[in-house]
Amino acid sequence: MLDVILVGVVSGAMLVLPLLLDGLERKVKAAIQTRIGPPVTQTLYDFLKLMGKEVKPFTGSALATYMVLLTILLQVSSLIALNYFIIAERNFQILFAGLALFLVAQASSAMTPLLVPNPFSQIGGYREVVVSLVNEFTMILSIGAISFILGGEAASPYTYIGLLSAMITLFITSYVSTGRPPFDIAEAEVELASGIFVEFSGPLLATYIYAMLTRRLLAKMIPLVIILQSLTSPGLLTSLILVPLLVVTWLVYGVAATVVGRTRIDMAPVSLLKLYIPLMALSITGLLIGVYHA
Amino acid sequence: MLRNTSIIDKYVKLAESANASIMVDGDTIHIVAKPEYIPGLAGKLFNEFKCVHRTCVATDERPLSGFFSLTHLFTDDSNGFYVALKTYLEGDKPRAPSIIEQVPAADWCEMEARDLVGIEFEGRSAYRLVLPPGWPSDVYPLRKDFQYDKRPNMLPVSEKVTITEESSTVPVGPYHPALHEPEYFELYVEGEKVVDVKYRGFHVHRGIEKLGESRMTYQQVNFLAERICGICGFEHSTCYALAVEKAAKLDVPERAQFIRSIILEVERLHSHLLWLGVAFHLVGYDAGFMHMWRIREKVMHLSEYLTGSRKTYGINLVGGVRKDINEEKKPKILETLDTLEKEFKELVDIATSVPQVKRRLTGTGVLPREDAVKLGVEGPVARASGIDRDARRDLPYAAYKHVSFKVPVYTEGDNMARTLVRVDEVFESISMIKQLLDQMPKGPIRLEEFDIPPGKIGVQVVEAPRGGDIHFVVTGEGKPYRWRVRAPTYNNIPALRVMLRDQPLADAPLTIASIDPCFSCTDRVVVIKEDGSVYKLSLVEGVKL
Repeated sequence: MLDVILVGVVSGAMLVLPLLLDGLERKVKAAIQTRIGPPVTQTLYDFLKLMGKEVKPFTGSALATYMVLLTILLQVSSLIALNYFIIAERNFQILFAGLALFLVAQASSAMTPLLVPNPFSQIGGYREVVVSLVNEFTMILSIGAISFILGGEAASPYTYIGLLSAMITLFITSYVSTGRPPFDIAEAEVELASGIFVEFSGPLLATYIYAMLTRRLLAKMIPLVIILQSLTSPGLLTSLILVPLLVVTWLVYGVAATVVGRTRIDMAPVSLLKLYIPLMALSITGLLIGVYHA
Repeated sequence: MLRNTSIIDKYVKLAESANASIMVDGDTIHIVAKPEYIPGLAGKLFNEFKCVHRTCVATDERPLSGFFSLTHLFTDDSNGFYVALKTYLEGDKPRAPSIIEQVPAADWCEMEARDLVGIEFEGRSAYRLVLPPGWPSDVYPLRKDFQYDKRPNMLPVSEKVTITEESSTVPVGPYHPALHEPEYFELYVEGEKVVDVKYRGFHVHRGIEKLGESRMTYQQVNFLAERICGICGFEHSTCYALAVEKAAKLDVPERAQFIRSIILEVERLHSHLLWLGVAFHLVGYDAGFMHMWRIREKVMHLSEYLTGSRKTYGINLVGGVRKDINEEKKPKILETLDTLEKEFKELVDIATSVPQVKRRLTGTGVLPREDAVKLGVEGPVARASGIDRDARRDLPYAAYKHVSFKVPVYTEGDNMARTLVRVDEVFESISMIKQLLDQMPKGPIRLEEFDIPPGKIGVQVVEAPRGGDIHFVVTGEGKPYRWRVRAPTYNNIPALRVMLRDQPLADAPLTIASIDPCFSCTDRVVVIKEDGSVYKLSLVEGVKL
């Protein structure tokens, strides 16, 4: 029972993290760009301000809003599952449930722009789907390989090469899932600037942005949870180690996003495949060798 | 001298072949021919003599001669001549033959002449270009019987987005977060590929030529000209001043010409650095954007140090300039330029090595050389497509004949080539400013007394950051009788249709930006409410403006 309460408290506290960490990222980005930047709490202020505005529906806004709310619901459920896994019970089924909820949330997040009757929004939605098809599938493969190796089914030094390769792949897929440059092509491309961010306003916009930021939190949390579960025991201590690691990872991703440009929608899947295929091939090879030796 | 004589003989023979009169006035060759000979002469100038068609000017000369006139302005860059091919048109509904078959680049200027002066062109299809669709069809603002403050009744017309079965339509503008000025592009896409483009501009037409011809003196027009554009305003005011000085044959002090050239190059620096920052932003490299504009601040400080203003310097006058660059300022200018050059080089080296930046710029928005020549594109757009043209070298003005500089030319014609041309021009501009400072002669900075006789013609091209800007002036009594401005973007926009076709939609903003479009320069109707009251629209009666 105490564990459940702890999971609830930790999950509740973590719901504010996306807003604060985005503000921190903006400050670090500003420093790299030799600017002062907004205060760390700016994203939180913006969120609260938008939530206080009048709701302005547009044609088709009901369906798009439901999809955003569904996305947040799935993301919160995923967050709770992952926290339960690290605090209460190291049951891999719960981990996979959390992962599945995250992936379904990704799908509903990709669907949202497609439901907005705005050509720029729909173009952005299709682009997000194209990137997700490559990226999320690879994320599943990498987690599968890691679970298999960590589950002890393959024992050999070669499996550690496979494990390392799979972890690298997982972190890359996690970065791409956050929708940062060079893969922020769904909403940040200039020709789409009149898309979903123009249609959504007030509380709808606040909710949509919150869903985007929570996605970033979960995308970082998944690889960190997988690493921590093999190094620590269930308990609050793991959460206390996880949060600073989340902050550091968020900032590392933010710095990486600042120093690159944006790729193009036709180049993005090709670039990703050129990276993922060799990494996963190495991972699977190490895994198979391990199985052979086991 | 012998070379010039043989070149002029060439033009004399050309004029004689069309029973036309010819007069050489300084660096300008004036050919006056009957209307039916114009297409043939224009074709020969463009195709055989390899002249560049800059623009055409329609003038209501009825108060002077009883006729309208149409002048096609060419430049013979290889030999440093301006060629004004003129014809007179009779009647209140004048008709002229179109030259777009021979010179495709003349398309827009003919339609502008049709809209603003009412010249009908034979042998081509006509369309409204400059004036809004609801403008009354028999009202021509640049005719001398149209008062500048007249407000004709306009019927509001709503334009619908074109829908086709073959492709999807992506409307961009007139107001779009990605656009810095109002313009309208209709992109027809199949999937992610642009298959065709429709452009509708002139949303920022402000009636500048009419203002300059109506209610302003020669000196006041300098300040109006500088407000044609917020980025390249000084080159407009310089071009205007030089055109009037050429018409009036004024001997402007050398020191003033040096100061003008220095400020022109400072303006080029700020414009190119601004553009590079915007280009990096468009490919998502915001770190490059921020750093480039940080570096650009040094240029803005330099402008303020030299002229008193960061932009819209206000130092040009007909006959010279208003502010001097004295010896005490030189060390600080040189120090700023050295720091600027060092930081700019570092940033460009880093930025062009970012893989995403390189990949998105390379091979995209290609403009082949043949199309670039046909469309008469200007500036970095032309030089990136292999056209070796620069008015500072080919038609030297101000103090440019005293400096040596390279004209960067690339042949790929893609967005990367246009970027690299601008990068190279920044280094050249820095070098030129240093040379100009070193060689600047002593003396006055403006003429104190001079006359501007009426009825004289002056044509001047100034190489703006975006390309050749041309001003055509016919002098009048105390003010220009006719003032025609053709900014470089005017010739570069039609090339977008070629550059965008069969390109990914994602490259459209970058390609559009690669011509460094200045729509304020290109346009020149704005609604002015005299007392601030709001008029209710009546769809039956029209709206009083």
